Formats: sequence, structure tokens, C-alpha cells
Amino acid sequence: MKKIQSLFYLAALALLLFSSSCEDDPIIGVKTFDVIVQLEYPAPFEPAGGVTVRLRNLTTGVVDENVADSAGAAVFTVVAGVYEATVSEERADDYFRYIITGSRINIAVTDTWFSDIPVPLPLTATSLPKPAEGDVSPYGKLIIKELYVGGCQKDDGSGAWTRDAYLIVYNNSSQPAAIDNLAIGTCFPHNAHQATSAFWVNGAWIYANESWLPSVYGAWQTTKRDTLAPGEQRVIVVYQAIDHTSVYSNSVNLANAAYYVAYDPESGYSNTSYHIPPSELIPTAQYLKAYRLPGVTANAWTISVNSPALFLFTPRDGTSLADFANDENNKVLHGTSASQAALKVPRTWILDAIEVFQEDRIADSKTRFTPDVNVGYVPYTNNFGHTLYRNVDKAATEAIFGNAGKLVYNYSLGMEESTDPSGIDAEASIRNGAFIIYRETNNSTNDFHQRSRASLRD
Amino acid sequence: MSSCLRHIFSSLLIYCCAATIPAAAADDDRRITLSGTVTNARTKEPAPFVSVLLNDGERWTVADEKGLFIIRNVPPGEMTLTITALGYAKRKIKLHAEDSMPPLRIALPEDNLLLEEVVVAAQANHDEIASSYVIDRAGLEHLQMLNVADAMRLLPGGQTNYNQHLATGSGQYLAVRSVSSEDGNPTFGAALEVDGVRLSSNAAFNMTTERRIYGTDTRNIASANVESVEVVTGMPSVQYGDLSNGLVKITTHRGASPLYITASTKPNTKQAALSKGFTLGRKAGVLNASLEHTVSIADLASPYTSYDRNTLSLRYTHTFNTHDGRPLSVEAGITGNMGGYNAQSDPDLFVDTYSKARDNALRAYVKMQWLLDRPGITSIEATASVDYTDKLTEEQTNKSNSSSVAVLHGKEEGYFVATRYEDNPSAPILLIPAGYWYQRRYVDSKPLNTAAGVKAKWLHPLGRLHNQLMAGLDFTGTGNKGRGEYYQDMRYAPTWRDYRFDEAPDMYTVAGYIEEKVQWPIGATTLQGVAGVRWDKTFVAAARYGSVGSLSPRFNLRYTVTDRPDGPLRRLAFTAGWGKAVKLPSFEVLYPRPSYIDRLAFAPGTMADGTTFLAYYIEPYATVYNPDLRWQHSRQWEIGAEAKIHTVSLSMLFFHHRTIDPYRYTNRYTPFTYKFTGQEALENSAIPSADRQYRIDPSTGIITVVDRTGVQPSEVLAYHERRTFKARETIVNGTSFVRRGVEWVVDFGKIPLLQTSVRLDGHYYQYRNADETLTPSSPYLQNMADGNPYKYVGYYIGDAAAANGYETRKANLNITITTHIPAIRMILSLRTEVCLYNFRQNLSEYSRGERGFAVDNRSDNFPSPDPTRYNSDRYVAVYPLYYASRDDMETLIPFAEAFAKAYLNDRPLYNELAKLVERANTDYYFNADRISAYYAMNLSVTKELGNVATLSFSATNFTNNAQQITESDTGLQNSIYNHGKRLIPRFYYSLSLKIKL
Repeated sequence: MKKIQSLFYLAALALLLFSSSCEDDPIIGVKTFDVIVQLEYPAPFEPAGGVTVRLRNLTTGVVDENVADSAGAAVFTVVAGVYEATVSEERADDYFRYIITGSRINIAVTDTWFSDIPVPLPLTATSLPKPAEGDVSPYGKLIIKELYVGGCQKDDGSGAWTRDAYLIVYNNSSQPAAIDNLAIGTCFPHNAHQATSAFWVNGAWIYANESWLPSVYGAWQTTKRDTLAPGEQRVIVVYQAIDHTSVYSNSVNLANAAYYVAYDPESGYSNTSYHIPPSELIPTAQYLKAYRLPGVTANAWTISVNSPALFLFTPRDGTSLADFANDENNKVLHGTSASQAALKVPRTWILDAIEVFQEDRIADSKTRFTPDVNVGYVPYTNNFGHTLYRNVDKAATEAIFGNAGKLVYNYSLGMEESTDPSGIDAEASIRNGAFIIYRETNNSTNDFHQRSRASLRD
Repeated sequence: MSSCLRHIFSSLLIYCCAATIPAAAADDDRRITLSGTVTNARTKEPAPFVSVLLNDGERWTVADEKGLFIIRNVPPGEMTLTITALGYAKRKIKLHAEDSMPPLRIALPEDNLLLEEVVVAAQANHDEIASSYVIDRAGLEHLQMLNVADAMRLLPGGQTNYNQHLATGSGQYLAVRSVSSEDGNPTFGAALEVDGVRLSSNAAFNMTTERRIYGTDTRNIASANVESVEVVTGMPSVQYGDLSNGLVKITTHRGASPLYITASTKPNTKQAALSKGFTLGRKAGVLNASLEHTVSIADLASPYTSYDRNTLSLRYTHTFNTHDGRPLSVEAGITGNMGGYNAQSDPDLFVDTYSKARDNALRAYVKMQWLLDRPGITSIEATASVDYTDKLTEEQTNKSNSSSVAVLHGKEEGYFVATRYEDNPSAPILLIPAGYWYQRRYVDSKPLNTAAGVKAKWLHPLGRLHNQLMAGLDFTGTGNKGRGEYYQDMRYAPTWRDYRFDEAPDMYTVAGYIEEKVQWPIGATTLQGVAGVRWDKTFVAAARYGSVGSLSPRFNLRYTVTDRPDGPLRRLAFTAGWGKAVKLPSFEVLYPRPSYIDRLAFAPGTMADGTTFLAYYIEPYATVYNPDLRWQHSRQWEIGAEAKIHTVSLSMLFFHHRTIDPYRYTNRYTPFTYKFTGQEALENSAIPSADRQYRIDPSTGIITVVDRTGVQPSEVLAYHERRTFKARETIVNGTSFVRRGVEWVVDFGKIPLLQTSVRLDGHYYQYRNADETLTPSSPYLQNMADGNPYKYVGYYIGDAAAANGYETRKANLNITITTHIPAIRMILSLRTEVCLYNFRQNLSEYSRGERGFAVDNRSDNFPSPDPTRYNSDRYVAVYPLYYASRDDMETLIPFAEAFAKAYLNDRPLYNELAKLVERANTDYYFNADRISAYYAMNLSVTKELGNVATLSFSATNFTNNAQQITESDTGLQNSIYNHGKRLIPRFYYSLSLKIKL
């Protein structure tokens, strides 16, 4: 192939050498013209210079390459002919690669050619996930995007309905993330303001200098092979994956075929006040499996409705959660009852965590995570439909070229004392097609705010 | 002293011989007539209808309307006349009666604060040989008792209860020489009589899940017309049966009296009462009527949850033949109460929700006592009574759910699928559709106790021996006429099984008893003895346990060395008692309500309307019959001494109470396999969910899905089997245990100059129980590593828990300073109640080895090099003694050895067996918990305003003591009010006014 190409070039050179029609060429007498190719970038991209533009004579096949200047213009001096201009550029930010390409054919350069009029070359951009550097965990950056546990007011005014809890797991990276074997746990004590705890001794958590965190009663784990694309999310229902809105109009509809649900009645969590068969729309493959520790007598896995400490984790190094949970050495007992067993989850397994304090009990509350997992807390008022929602990483999100024009500002769903400082309405922006990058500082104070409405009600 | 004992022994020997001598052999057959007139000491007017008893009731009569009494056929010699009448002070007169004796003229003083000897504390009852205490009207008024259980605080070492009101959700009970939370159901074992009518909780059903049997709720007993409360702490006479933890006898007003109007107030309780004894005419007797209204609220800040009591009591007494020496006394009474607990008007409750509980009662009795004075029979007494209680509770709650709720009502064993009410309202499992609804629940309990008895006494003096033989027969019937638990609308009834109390067969008991009482002067001393035996036979229709018999021998002795009104040593006496008491089984034991285990067998996905047709395997079971069950009883002894030196009275009593064969509930495990079908079996169903009808084979549990439209063929769903256990409850006899203690009183008498007396009383009480019953237990609702249900059963010494019992010790001291100034008719008492020692320690004991060991770390499964478990500030783990596998339930494998081997050689087995290791919740669980001393001071004042009114005021914990207490198990300090044990009452005051018209 290369030989043919070389022959082709030699023939073309011979043709030029023996040609006599180029009047303006003082050497060989061939008339030439200037062709200015002006690159037109799609928003939000701007010309950056240094991009190689190729101009190919469609008759002779001769290709000329020039580098565009900082204004996106590349100047070629060519003989008359029909040309094609092409350009291909790659850019990247923290999350994506962008392939910017453009092509224009049938640029006819004749004697009437105006050399000072630029030839526009419209460009288009395509985004591609950017390979992560360093950590190549198959779980990417799975984060807790939202945690809704506090319930809402019933329609008859008789109090709150709290069996509609859910959380949303979100892929906050540019890399697909597998969520099979993703596990969920909560820390003892159940409530952050619990006055006493067997784990709180001499002003410190007994696990503060250990390598683990206590996971209440054991853990739940996904079993379905599933992958989240960047920016993709999965709703995991904690109690009852049904449509609650037909009875409780302030609640949420959790009957959705895409949702996951913590439901495993054979584990011993068979209390139908909490765990009822999920909507028949939800495939059973999306039921999470419960690992209920020995000694636990509770027939429901409950999460604090006002101040949970929830975390995502996944066993590493090929460890099976079933084997891990059944190993006597991995159990620790908590509190006033021997039935309050906890699983010692290695902290290196933890992907993300959220610490919640009840808003009117902050002074009494203690953060249950160790600093390497999470510091800070997000205040919460339960029973009124509020949810805990992740703050947007404003700079990172706005830096994504493709988000231009898609981000919705003037976010109004935060609470007075706790709102998203970015001002970006993440859910509205997502509906606009934006890709949201959420904050990840391992500090719930920075990373979360209290939102007045569950996102599933947007 | 040794010569004294020899004297007693030889005297006993002589008595045994003498008892065989016919009565006719008595050396003095002379008989005299004793007569007299009783007048009001103040007005000099006749005191009508007073009771005159000779020698504690050997002979008796009632004075006529002119105060005249005659007792005929009296052996001459030393005797004691006791004269009692409502509104008068009780008088005891010792006299030597002879033929030539003129009629007696007895001036009876009115019972008021003008008397010198008013007592406002519990007094030892010297009329009884067994230890007992009496609190009379003056003490009760001074106490301002609103619940008869309050009187217990006046016993030696008794202290004021934390609770200040009657509006508690559960009942309030009496406990004698015990604490209600202890093993052996002590409140159930305490007998309670009002005017001779036994109140019984034998026919009550405990609707809670706790396995405890309670005694009679005392809240529906009127307190305003109580004349006296007697608490027999020792071994009572054999005429009292069906008890194991003491006897409380309440006597209400009887006899002619003016109209009393009483009004009382406490922060949480108000009371108004009327009482009068009507003279119906010269030969028509006396009618006492009393009316009481009491209302009590639970919380001053939210005065809507209340308990009210509205009691009308009528009591008729009349004595015929008062002058012919063979009086016949007839007494009849009826008491009705309406009231109960009510939270209906509480605005904090959601609209139209409420709870209320009736506590209505109707008690009636007839008693006839006839002094026959015939050879071989001196008197005969017949009684009949009925006690009916209506305890209907009603509760309306609001419910809602976003999915259907499967509610189980089926009582048959097998697999059943939930059904819509419209399709079959009597289906074993119904569906309550998603939405909002109200649920109204009733529990209708109407215990009915009937009793009849006859007893005869025969005075048969043998020389100097003063003998009285008593024999009697009792019959009691116990039933419950209540409907049990039910719901107004079955459409919204929750999971519940109908069990009608009124279908439980009645229980009947026949008892016979015989008792000989002797008084034997030995020189200047006197020996009194009572020996008796009681036989009870209980007949229970349709109960596996059939008829049950028991024999209860009881003995009491008192040796009085001296008893005289003057001298340095005015009284010295020693007492001793021993006996057995049997508490009859309750309906909870005889007719245990069936229990149900409901296992989820089918869990299809929830449909769009929130409906899910769950199916369950229903497993009914009754408590397993235990052919080896023995009836719980108690054996107790006590010894005591009492003395009076000058004006200082001292008494001390040691008691030892052993509860034998206490009832305990345990489980028996048998392997069991059931089928479970999940939603995954439906995921490939060709039948649209809206068209599906689920059918389940009741015996196999196999689910078939039928297409209602008939388009698709039926589908049989795949299932998997779950091998587990059936756990069936049974009643066994636990390990015997002991309560022991000391009660003492030092009364320094009145200092005339100060008009003040000082009394110290106290008790030391110890309870210890470490049950050693081999008790099977399995965490069979857990899964093993392979996801299957747990397959092992542990056999523990006592409960499957870190502790198999606990020990308590308590020493109380009360200092009562009473100033009584008759001249101004006022009595003031300052009572300081001190708890010097309050100890509790959890126990892990096994008489044939170790039970439990300390571990270095909380989750460790093997002992620390130093396994000391007590007071070591370490966690403690407990192994079962044996374990068995579901695959071979007969082979009991020693646990410790197998566990250690598994640790080394079989890690999966080790992990599974570790689930049977029980452990303490805290590192101080086995530390001794001593609470530092604490106190409360109570001030009471009673002032009579002439003969018309009596005003009483009291301030409880008037110093508002809010001290810090220290607990030795943790070393922590806490406010006495924040302490979970509720040690002393908060400050409150009470005021009452009693007007006499």
C-alpha cells in the first residue's frame, strides 16, 4: 500500500514540474491562491490554536497540512483545484475526552478565488469517557446521591409515613461502574443523638483506632450484574418498593422496574410492616440479599428515620460477603441487647458515606464515622418529606463543555439553613441533559444538603 | 432458758396426752352468765350494737340498742372481753369472772384524738399467733390512703411508693414480703379478702406476651370506708387457702355510725365519700352504706388519662338471740363499683382514637355465725360470696397502609393464602386493602368467683388447757364470663385468633381443714399453739391436668413469758411458725391460650393497587402438656421475739420463705420442614397478574396459579423447602428459691412531757434465685452460612441468657416521730424513710459446675486466663451445657468440648456453634450494684375540729429530696428521679377533710 502511495506522489510531482499554467510562481510559473480555513467550534468550545488542518486536492490527491492559529484559522497556498478541508482535534477535561471533528468538501479554487475570504469549517464535538488514571477500581466513583428516610405526612393528618425510604447510588465518574456486590450498611448507634452507646467509651468510639466500622445487624448486598454508565444512577428502596402515592399523596412512587430493593424474607427480615413483596414490576434479580448476623432477633432491618449514618461498601480481594458475615471473628456486639450485633466492615471497603444529625438534636449528636470515611454531618428534619441530597461540584460541572446551556441555576429546593451552595438545580439540569458532578470531600457538611422534596417527586 | 424449753417440751407432751381425754373429764363444769351495759363514755348514752367477744371470739354477742349484752354459759375464771364498735375505740378488758359477779358497766370512749393511745402505724396483731400487722382507721386516715395497696408502706420497713395515682395502664397489686417483679408470681400468691370475700385473679387471662401471672388489681377497692387492714405476713390459719405469699384482710365499716363526709385531694387524685351506719329499728339490725367517688389522672400536664372509681357499698348486720346465750349473727353485704381507665378525652390523641378499660365490680356475700354452744360444737359459721368483675377494655386506633395487609385469623394448621374480605369474610387469612381505617379492639374479661364455706368451732377445755378445735369445708368456683378479645369490624381486624374466655371450663375447688388451737398456762407463762392441716382438691373439666390435690400443714407457736401492764419487763414473748401454702393454678396454666406461629410461605410481587396475596403456614399450638408438672407451693418458717421494757417495745422477726416448683415456661423443639415460594417463580408466568388467582394446597403448600379468564392453563409454581424447627411451649417446674429477711420495730413509747413518741422500724430483705432447669433454646429463626435455617438447639442451665437469676438485698429504716396532743386533738408525724442498702447482682450459677466465664474481649468465645465473672468489670460469656442437631435431636453433645474441637478442626461448625454462646450486654453486668443510701421525709398532720370534722394534711418527700445516687456497678452518679428504678416519690401534698354529722 505504501508503495502505491509513493508512486502516486511521484506522478503528482512530475505533473507539477512539467506544468506551465502557474503564472504567479516566479520559479516554475504556476499561479497560486491563498485558502484560509476558518475553524468554527461548537459551543462551548473555543479555538485554542495548534490544531492541524488538512487540505486535500480532490483531483490530484495532494494533501497539505497547516496548523491553525489561536483564532482557529489555517492558511494554505494552493493551485487551482477542488479541495477538501478536514480537521480532527481531541480535548479532555477531568471526566471526558471530546473528539472535535469537521470536514468540508468541494472547495473549488479557481481564477476568481478571493484569497482573503476565509472558508468556514464547522466543527462538531463528541464526548467519550475518559480513562481514569491511577485507581482503576471497577466500581468507579459510586456515591450516595440522595438518601430519603424521614417519611412524609399522611393525608389524614395522623402523623408520618416512613416506610417509603430509598437511596440513590450514582456514578460520579467518567468510567462505567459495576454495582453487583454493592453493599449497604448503617452504623451503630441507630440515632446520632442516642445518649449512650456501648461503642462510645471514654469519649471515643471503640473502633476509632480499629480498621473497621460497625454495620448494624449485618448488611444488604446487590446480586445482579449491572453497570452504571457515567452519570447514571440506581434507586435502591429500603423498605417497600411500591407506589405509596395512592394512599399518601406526599410520598413517592417506588414501583419501578429499574429500582433495586432490600427484600429477603427468608433471611429473617419477614416483618411485613417494613418489608413487603416489592412491586411485581421489579425483577427479583434486583432484590438485595440480606446478611443478617447471628444473634440478631429483629425481624426488620430498620434505618434511623432522623439521623442515620449510612455507607456503601463492597468486599475486596475476592472476599464473599456471605463468608465474611458468617465468620465469628467479624462480629461485634453493641448496646443494651445481645441481639444488637454488628458486622465489622473493613474501612478500606467503604465507597461513600453520609452522616445525618437530627436538626433539633445536633448538640447531642456525635458523628459515627472515622475521619478517613467521613467528617461532618448534614442536618435533617424528618417526617415532612425532606430528603438529603448531594451538593453539586459547581466548578467541575460547569467545566464540562457539554453542560453549557444545560445547567439550571437558582436552585430553590434547599432548606433555609441547608442548601446547595452551587445554586445549580441538579435534577433540573439532568433533565436538560447536563452531566452533574457532585461534591466528594468525605465531609457530609460540604457534600450534602437538606432538600425539601424527594427527587423522585420532581 | 433451757429449763424454760424443757418446760415447754414437757408441757407439749402432757398436752398430747390430754388431748385424748374426753371433754367431760374437765375438772370444772361450772358455767356463769356474763352481762353488762356499754355506754358512750362521753355522752353516757347507751352504745348500741357493739360487739362483745370473749377470749378472742370463743363466745360472743352483740349488745342491743340499749347497750345491754349477755353472754351465757361462760366458764368462770380469767378472761378477756373485747368490745368493738364503729366510731369507738377498741377496748380489751381482763377480768376474773365468778358467779357472784354483778353486771358490767363499760364506758366506751369514742375513737378520736382525745384518746391517749392513738396509733398511726402498723401494729403487731397479738390476737394472731402467726405474724401479722394491723393498721386501723386512725392510721389509714393519717395515711390518707386512696389505694389499699398504700397501706403496705406502714409495715416494718415499708416505704412510700413512687407511683402517685391510679391511672396506670396496667393494674396495681399487693406484694407481701416480696417484690412484684421477682420469680414465682408473688402478687398472684398474695391473697386479698375484703370483708371475708376472697378476691381472686385465678380466672384472669394475661393478654400481654409476658409470661407472668398477676394478682388482684386493687384499684377498684374503695378506700374511704376501710376500717382496718390486716396483713398476715406469716403462715396464716389453715382456713385460708389458695395463697403462697401472705394474706391481706380488709374490713370495712360495720355498725351504727353518724354520717361521714370525706373529701380528699392529692395532686393527681381527688376523692369524695359518704358513709353512714343506719339503725333500722330495734330488731332490724344495722345497715351501713358508703358511697365513694375517686378520680385519678396520670399526668398533671395532660389531665386526660384518668382512672375513676365509683363505689356503692351496703352492708347489713343483725344479731338475733342476743339474750339467750346463743346469738345468731347474720351479715350480708353488696358492693358495686363502676369506673375504670379512660384516655378517651385526651386531645393529644388522634381524632376518634381512644382507649378505655372498665373496672366494674360486684361483690356480695352472706355470712351467718351462730353460737350454738352445744356439746361437741360451740359455734358454726357459714359464708357464701360472689365476686364478679367486668374488665372490658376498648381501644380504637387509626391505621393506614400503602399496601394491603394480610391479617391471620385461622386456627387450623396448614397453608392458606390471603383472601379479600368480599370474597370470603371468614377466610383464615384476610386482606385489608391499602388505605386508611380505624380498628376498634375489645378485650372482654369477666372473672366470676363464687365461694361457700362452713366451719365449726368447738371449745373443749382440758384442765388448764384452753382448746379450740376448728374444722371446715370450703367450696370455690372460678370462671370467666368474658367474650375475650374481639374486634368491632372483622374487615379491619388485625392478626388475631378468637379465643373466648367464657368457653374455658370453670374450675372448682373443694377444701377441708382442721385446726386445733390451744392456750396453756405454764406457771406464769403461757404457751399458745395452732396446728392445722388443709386439703385442697381442684377439679378442672377438660383440662389435661385433671383434678389436683394438695395438703398443707401449718403450725404456729407463741410462748409468752410475761405480759403485764407494769414492771420493768412488761412483755416478753417468742413466736415460731412453719407451714406449707399452695397457690392454685391460674387459668393461664390450666387453659393456656393456643399460640400460633405464622410462617410466610408465598410472597408474590405487589400489584399496582398495592395488593399482594401472601400465604402463610399457620401452626397452632397449645402449651404442651407436662405430665410431670407439680403444683407450685411455698414452705415458710419464721421465728420472732417481742418485748416491752418499761415503755419501750421491741420486736424482731426472722422469716424464710421457699418457693418450691415455681412455674416456668420453656420451649420444646421438633424438626419441621415447610415450603416457600417467592416472586421468582412467577416471573415467567404467562398469566397476567390481574387475571391470576392463587391457590395453595393446605397440606403440601404447593401454589397453583389459575387464569381467571381461562385463557391460559394453570401453572404450578416452583418452591423450595426450608428445614427448621417447631418450637412448642411447655410449663415446667423451675428451681426452688428463697426469700428471707428480718423485720423489726423499736417503739420508744410516748414521752409524756413532749407528748411525742419515736418509733424505728425496718427490714432486711433478701431474694435469690438462680434457676438450674435444663432449658432448650435455639436461634432457629436465623440462617446458617448456607442460607438455610439454623439447625442446632442449645440446652442451657436456666435461661438462654448470660444470667440465670439475680439476687437482691435491701435494708430499710424508717424513723417516725409522732407528736400527739390530745388536748388540741392533733397528731403530727414526721416519718423519715431511709434505704440504707439496696443491692442487686445478676447471677450465673450452676450447683454442679461453672456457668459462664469472663472473656478478655467482648466478642471472645473462650475464657480469659482469669475467668472470674463477678465484680471483674469484664464481659461474660455462657455456653449451653449441651447442644443437639436437627438431624439427631436425641443425642445431646457436650458443648464446651465440641466447640473447642471445632475451633481447631472445623471452622464452619465453630462459626455455627458460636451462635449458641450467650453473653452479657455490658462489662458491668455481673458487677454488684449497690445504690448509695437515699431517703425521703414525709410529714403528716391530723387535726380534729371538735367532734364534727377531721382535717388531715400530708406532704410526701416534703424536703423535695433530689439527691444524687451512686451505683457501684458502673460507678456512675445519677439523679434519684432519673434513675430507672423510681426509688422515692416526688414531692406532693395531700389534704383531706372528714365531717361527721
